[in-house]
Amino acid sequence: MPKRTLLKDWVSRVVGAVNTSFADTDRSSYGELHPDVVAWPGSVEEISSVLQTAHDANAEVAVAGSGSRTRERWPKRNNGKRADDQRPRIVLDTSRLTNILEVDETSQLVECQTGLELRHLEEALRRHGLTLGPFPDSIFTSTLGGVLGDPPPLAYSSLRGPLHGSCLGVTTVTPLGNVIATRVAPRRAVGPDISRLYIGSGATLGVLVSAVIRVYSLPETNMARAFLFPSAASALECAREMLAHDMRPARLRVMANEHSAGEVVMKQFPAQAALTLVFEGCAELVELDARRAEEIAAEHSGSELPQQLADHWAERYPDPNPEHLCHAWAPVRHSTAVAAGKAAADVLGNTVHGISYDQFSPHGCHMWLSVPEEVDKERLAEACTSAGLSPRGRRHTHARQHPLTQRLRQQLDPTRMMLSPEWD
Amino acid sequence: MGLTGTHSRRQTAAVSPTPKIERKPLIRALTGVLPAERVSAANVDRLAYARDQWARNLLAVRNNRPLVAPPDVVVWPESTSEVLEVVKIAADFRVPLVPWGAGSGVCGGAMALHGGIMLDLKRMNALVDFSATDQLATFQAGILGQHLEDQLNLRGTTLGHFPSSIHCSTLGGWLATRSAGQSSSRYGKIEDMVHSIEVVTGEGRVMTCSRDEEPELLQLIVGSEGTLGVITQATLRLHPLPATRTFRAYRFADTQAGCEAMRQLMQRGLRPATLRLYDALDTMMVGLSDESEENEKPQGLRGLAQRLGRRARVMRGGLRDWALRNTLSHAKWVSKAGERLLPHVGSGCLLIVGFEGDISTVKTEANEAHRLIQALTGVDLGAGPGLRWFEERHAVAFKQSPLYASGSFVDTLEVATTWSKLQQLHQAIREALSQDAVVLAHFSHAYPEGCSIYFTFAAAEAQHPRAEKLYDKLWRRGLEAAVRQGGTISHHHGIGVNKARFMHDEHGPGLDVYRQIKGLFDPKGILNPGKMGL
Amino acid sequence: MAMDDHARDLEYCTFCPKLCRHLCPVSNAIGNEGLIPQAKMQLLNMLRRNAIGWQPGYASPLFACTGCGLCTEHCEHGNDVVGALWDGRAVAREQGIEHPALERFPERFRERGEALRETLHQSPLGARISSEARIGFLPAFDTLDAYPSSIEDAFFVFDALGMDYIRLVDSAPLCGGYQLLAAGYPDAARLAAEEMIRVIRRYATVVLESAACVYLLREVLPKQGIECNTEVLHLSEYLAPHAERLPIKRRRFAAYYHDPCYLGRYLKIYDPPRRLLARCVDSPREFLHHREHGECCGGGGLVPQTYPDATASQARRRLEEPQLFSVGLVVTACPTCRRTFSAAHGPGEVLDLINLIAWAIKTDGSPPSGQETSQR
Repeated sequence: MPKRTLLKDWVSRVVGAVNTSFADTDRSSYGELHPDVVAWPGSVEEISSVLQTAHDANAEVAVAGSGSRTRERWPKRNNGKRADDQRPRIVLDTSRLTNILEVDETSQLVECQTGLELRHLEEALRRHGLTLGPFPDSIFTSTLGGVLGDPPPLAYSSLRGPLHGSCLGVTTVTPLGNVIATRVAPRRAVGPDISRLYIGSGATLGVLVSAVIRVYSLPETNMARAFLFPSAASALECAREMLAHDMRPARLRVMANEHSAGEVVMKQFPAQAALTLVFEGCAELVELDARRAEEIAAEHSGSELPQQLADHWAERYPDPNPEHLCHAWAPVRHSTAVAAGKAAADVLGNTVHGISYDQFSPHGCHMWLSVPEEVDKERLAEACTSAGLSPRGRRHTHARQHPLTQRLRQQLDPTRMMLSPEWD
Repeated sequence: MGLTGTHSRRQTAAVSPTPKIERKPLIRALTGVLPAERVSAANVDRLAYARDQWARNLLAVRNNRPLVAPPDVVVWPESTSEVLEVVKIAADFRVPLVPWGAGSGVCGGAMALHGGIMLDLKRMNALVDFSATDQLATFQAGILGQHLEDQLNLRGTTLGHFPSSIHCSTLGGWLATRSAGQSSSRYGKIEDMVHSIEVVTGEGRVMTCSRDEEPELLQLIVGSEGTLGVITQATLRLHPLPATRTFRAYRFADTQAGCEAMRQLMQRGLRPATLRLYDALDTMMVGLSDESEENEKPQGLRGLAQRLGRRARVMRGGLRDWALRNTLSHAKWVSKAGERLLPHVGSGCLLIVGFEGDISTVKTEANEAHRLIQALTGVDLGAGPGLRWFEERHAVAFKQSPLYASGSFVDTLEVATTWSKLQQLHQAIREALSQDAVVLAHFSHAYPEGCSIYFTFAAAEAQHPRAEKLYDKLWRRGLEAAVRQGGTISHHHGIGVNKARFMHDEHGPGLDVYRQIKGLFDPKGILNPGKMGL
Repeated sequence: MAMDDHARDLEYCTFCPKLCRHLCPVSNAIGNEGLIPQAKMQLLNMLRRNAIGWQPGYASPLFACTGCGLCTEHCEHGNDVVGALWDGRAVAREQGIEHPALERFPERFRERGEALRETLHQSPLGARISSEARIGFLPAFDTLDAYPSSIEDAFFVFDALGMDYIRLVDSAPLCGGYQLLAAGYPDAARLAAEEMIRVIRRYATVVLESAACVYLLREVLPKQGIECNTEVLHLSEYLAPHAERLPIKRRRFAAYYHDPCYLGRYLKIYDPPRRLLARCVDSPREFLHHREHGECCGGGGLVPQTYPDATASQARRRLEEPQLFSVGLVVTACPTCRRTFSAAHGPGEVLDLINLIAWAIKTDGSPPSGQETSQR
């Protein structure tokens, strides 16, 4: 296998021998990928060279740390046994790309490499009095490349929008090794937004090396509120009303027990619905919003729950979706949210452990269905479909199925060099 | 009559007698899919579509050459399926197809540079769907901005998109160029407002893409200026009509201090609907105080300067033209004098802050903004200047005609960058332009991370082709300075023809990616050829 | 060349970024860029400058104007688009280019006038004709054509107010020649105006139904040196001071008031018709764009003949608004507006103010459209 040997040689020459591995232990730590070489590049230039090398050697490249989680199903490789007729395979592991390149306090922007975990980025930002925003804790264990390559639906705040929406520019390396650094400006009118092409693409169109992210001043204060409603419909209507009237809670969720066993978060209130809110920002606005939330809730027959409970929910907000349950979610509009919940519950019957609504905007939200792991995935999918939803499971990179996007990938990566569990 | 001095009695010309394209079979094909009255190769129509609002085209018109780039044929489809048929015919005949909204673009983006089919979407102007509950509305792309806003207002909602072209631009045009409105600091730009779009690609396919399902494709189509597809309809995010609206204006010593206030205001999480800072010269032009109700009456030199500025604003007719021409033809001197004198005699820089929305929120936000700005040495000027701006917000472009008619020209250049680079960008472009033009600037689209700068430059040159040469030189200098300082070459006017040669500077190798995308969407290269540096 | 009188306006429009285009009823309906005010003015200007030569197709855009004047109202420079285009129509004719729909227009105009006068004489209303009275009433062309009962309504209202001294004016053209002006026949229009003046001189006051005619007699002709001492009033102006005397009980329903362009923007008569309407209904409504910003019905400027689709489409568009708020009645004070709206076959009823007043005096029952309107 002289070609593979040569490839190893080339790769180690680019990233250095210490940052290259052919050891079985390393090679087997990427699930079913079983690469021939693992490389830990440290710079844009190194990634560019590795990709050019891979291209010349007709190798395949998978990027670890790009949101393409290694536990997912990758294209099989004869159980790890190499076969001569298969293309050599490289894993590019971004875990050395952890530098924060610039913190621009004036513009409240940070440029950061994509291998950095968000919790480390957040720590660093806090030292500057800055934060990524009020996103659930669970996303902070992901790398920046992970949340940009495959944006998790939870990485959303009603106040700040989706986390990937904070990305103002990216530096990527194309499969042919070209480096594209999009210009950073608050907004531009200079043609298609190429950076959006790379966000959410896993690593199928190129390797995301660094990104410029909008960050925020640490909030002056925050305040939680929780209300109990007689029905999901009244809670959802209340949420809609709040958003339509200029309120921008950092987080807003409706938990509907009406059609579920309520095991997820609020067993103590059967057949009711709860709305929880967290406000943050400058004190005057937070106080105003909290007061108005109380008024609007009262108009929709909501009764305020004790502060303790509101704080408790605000704190454990991050993980409404415990691992032992199986979840599906779908975007719904305000006008269809209630009906979608009912329809799904009709199919799933008493197996539904929770229906909640999250990721609110003035135009809609996401509906989450939680059922025990043992419930047939097909039934869950059926429930979603009958609710008029396109079901989405644990994997979040749902888009990218559009034929045009697929052809675009073909165009940008004609040799199908970049591997992805999604696409292949 | 000689109003312009360029009134030449030369040989009269018919509309371009030598079409580049074999018209007869093309028209036959088009009338096969559209009624004959919605297909026209008449000279009167070709003349009407021969240019958009790119300032360079106005110079040509002034030189008695109105036929800048006439199309061979104009069509008016009424539905997406008709657009699809026309696109297929253009592909079959391999003739250029240029989508046309209202032709208000200022970069030449809607010109039929190589003739072909001009596809006017204005008969597609229906409100297709409206949901008050979801605050979403779907319109066909050819609806004029003001008509769209009227439809929404009647239903208790607003889009929040108020470009100064709102009377003369269409939804499709907004989306194709990434348009921005005067309230963008609160409502965002059009790319933030769009929920989904329907587009007919150059391949001849109808495609819909939404924020939820195909965000990557949505943001490729938006801003593509007709090079990837024809946008036929869009669903937009709405807001309730604001219950109240307030204004307050402040004076700052210079733009730096004013920008600092804007930055802090945005980063504090306030959402002003209006946030506009004028540089010293622009402040003098717009006037610092409400003229009917003076808030402060400065004495001495500053008072004199203000009175002069006011006089200049109300001067009428020939006298104003004369004064203007003389000022503009000594641009360099005026700029220099302005730089030296304005800090001493000028009115400082005017900042207008406006909030709108729910009553209690507006009150709280306005108080918070006032506290913050006063702490940053902003001098309170009361509501007057803001109210006056609001009253006249769509009228500024009326000032264009007298300038052109008097033998001068004026254009605008809008760039954007992050707060930390903003002052250098302002300085660099002002210097680049002010050698040959009088330059005003304001900062009017602010975001937490940065801001756009809107330059207005005017110069006196009535002779052709000297006017065109000067015009080109100014643009080259201005954009070179923008690129040098790391700013983007366009915040909301788009690229078209005018900025096409700077696309490589803006995108680098990213331009190749755009070209590849173009190859996929429009394999025969029929859509709006010659634009955007492709 | 006559167009040089409009040189400044033509130049300013040529260099304008189309700021009034959204207001032009014809271009809005047709969607053709060549029909927006700026394009029409640029075309004329390029012809004036000899940058292009006259061609047969160049006349039609000049006829794509209802004369509504919204563009001028919106224009910071006050550019007189209607004046320029109508002079342009005359120049086009001099160039031998006539709009095919307007062939033999002066002859047809006169024939129509004669025929209508004859009909009037034959009708029972003929008894009301007299050139001896102090106050004369002159109905509009469109009333005689389409709504002769409106004349009865007018006399019913006059009688109810004790004004039994008003008589119908006996005039051959029955019109000051506004339409001739619009068709590009300024000379014929002048002759018609002079003839009309000769007739109305006999009265101390003439009450007219046509606002365009009032405008012509009151504003246009005096500027051309054609004066007449007769007081010229629009019907709504004449009746408004007597609004409180009208023997009416106010009805509980809603009606939109549509400002006719000539009555509103040209003559600035906004309040008299509103005062009368408010006597009849308890919930008068305003269009989103009203008074000086009120949109045209699409029926002026001979556009119903030159661009009939534009007229129909604009009228339908205007009627969408009352429909959206489930109001079934639109009231105007111009027979041309009424005729244009009615031809658009909207779902609701369109009435002239005089019809509404007469109805309100006669009955105390349900609204004229036969449907109670929802109160929103």
